[in-house]
Amino acid sequence: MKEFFRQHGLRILAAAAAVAVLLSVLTYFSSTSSVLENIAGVLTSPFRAAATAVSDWAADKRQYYEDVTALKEENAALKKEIAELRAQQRDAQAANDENALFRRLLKLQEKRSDFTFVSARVLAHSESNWTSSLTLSHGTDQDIAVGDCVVSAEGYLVGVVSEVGLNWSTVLTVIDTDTELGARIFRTGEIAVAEGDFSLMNEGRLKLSYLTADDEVLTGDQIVTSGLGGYYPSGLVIGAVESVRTGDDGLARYAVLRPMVDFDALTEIFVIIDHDVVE
Amino acid sequence: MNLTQTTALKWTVYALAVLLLCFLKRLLLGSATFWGVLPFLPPVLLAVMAAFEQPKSAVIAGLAFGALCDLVVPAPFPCLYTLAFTIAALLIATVMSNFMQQGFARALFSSVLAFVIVDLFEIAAMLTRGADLSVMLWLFARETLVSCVLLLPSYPLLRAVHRLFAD
Repeated sequence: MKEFFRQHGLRILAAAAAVAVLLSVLTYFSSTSSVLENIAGVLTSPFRAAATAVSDWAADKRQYYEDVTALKEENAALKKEIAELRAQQRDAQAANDENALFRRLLKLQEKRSDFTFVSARVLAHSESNWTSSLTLSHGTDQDIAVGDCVVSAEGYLVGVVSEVGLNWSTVLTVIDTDTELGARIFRTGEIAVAEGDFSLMNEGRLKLSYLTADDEVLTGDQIVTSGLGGYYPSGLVIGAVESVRTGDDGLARYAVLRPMVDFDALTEIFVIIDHDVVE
Repeated sequence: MNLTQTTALKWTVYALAVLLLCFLKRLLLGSATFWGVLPFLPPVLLAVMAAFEQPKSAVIAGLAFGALCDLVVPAPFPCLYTLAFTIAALLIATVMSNFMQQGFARALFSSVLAFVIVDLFEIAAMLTRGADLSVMLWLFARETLVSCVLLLPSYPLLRAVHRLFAD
């Protein structure tokens, strides 16, 4: 190699200088690029294009991957947000329902300040054809006791607690054959007894018994609890008179009462756990 | 597995099947009434089980199932279902087995017999409260007819449990 440069070095240098001068001259006089540059450009252009295409493809793929990853993360975050919002919506709905319940309770409490109410949900309706009952979501945990009266949100009498456990209680509705309440005809103030009757129970009705010949009972008369004896509160609406009939003996009269409550539609009720006794 | 273990397992599976049927009934029918009555599942379940089993097992099942029903289903007097189900199970497992071959017909007649006995107690209790006998008999007829439809899902499931432990 040394020998080669020793022999031809000057020639090579001279040739390089000549090429350099030639390129400089051509560049100076050319309006575009020099011929050699042009040749080099033409020759390298496909390779550059290919390299650029590969590079663009790789960049595109990288971008796609980054986008997909970002979208996946965003999607997961959005899903989480939707779940949280739905949970919040459910909480809000529950709070709304509770609010409505407390409003009704407040209204009821304002109407009857002599009562202490506890709200409860109806867990189950009658299980048997021979009784009419409801199962509630509270029991002794809310101070509910056997004999407590149960009313609807409107304040109409639903029934009386017959059995009570820690977090459940059973209510026999006013149409059950075991129910017997001191009653008063609201219009006249006359006293009678409202009681469940088996024949009427299946029709969703109850009986107003012990009517005297002087009692003026008219269809549509409201019947309320008398409160006599202090066992049950007074003034709770039991139902309205639907018809007045004569008993099988042909002497005693009784009225058929239509309760003010649709027992099958009840979902929330109020238990009167304490009340002032009317003397 | 010895006999005691097999018996315990069999009645556990029976109990699970009964729970499943009660759950499905509550889920699908809720408090829906047909012909003015609620379909009443417990006597049907007891009748099918008693129709498959020996008298001793049937009576114990009737006693346990009746006691359970008395705890959860309101009745005109306490222990109505315990008494009625025990007697029904005994009669089904002894008398019915002498008259009929095992099968759907026997389960059907056993269910009717169970309703006769349960409703006899109900009627007796209601008579003391002055209820009209004809109204009660009409209710009994409708209740039995409507409830026996529940045999259609109950019978195959309980028969499968019985066959599982037949040998």
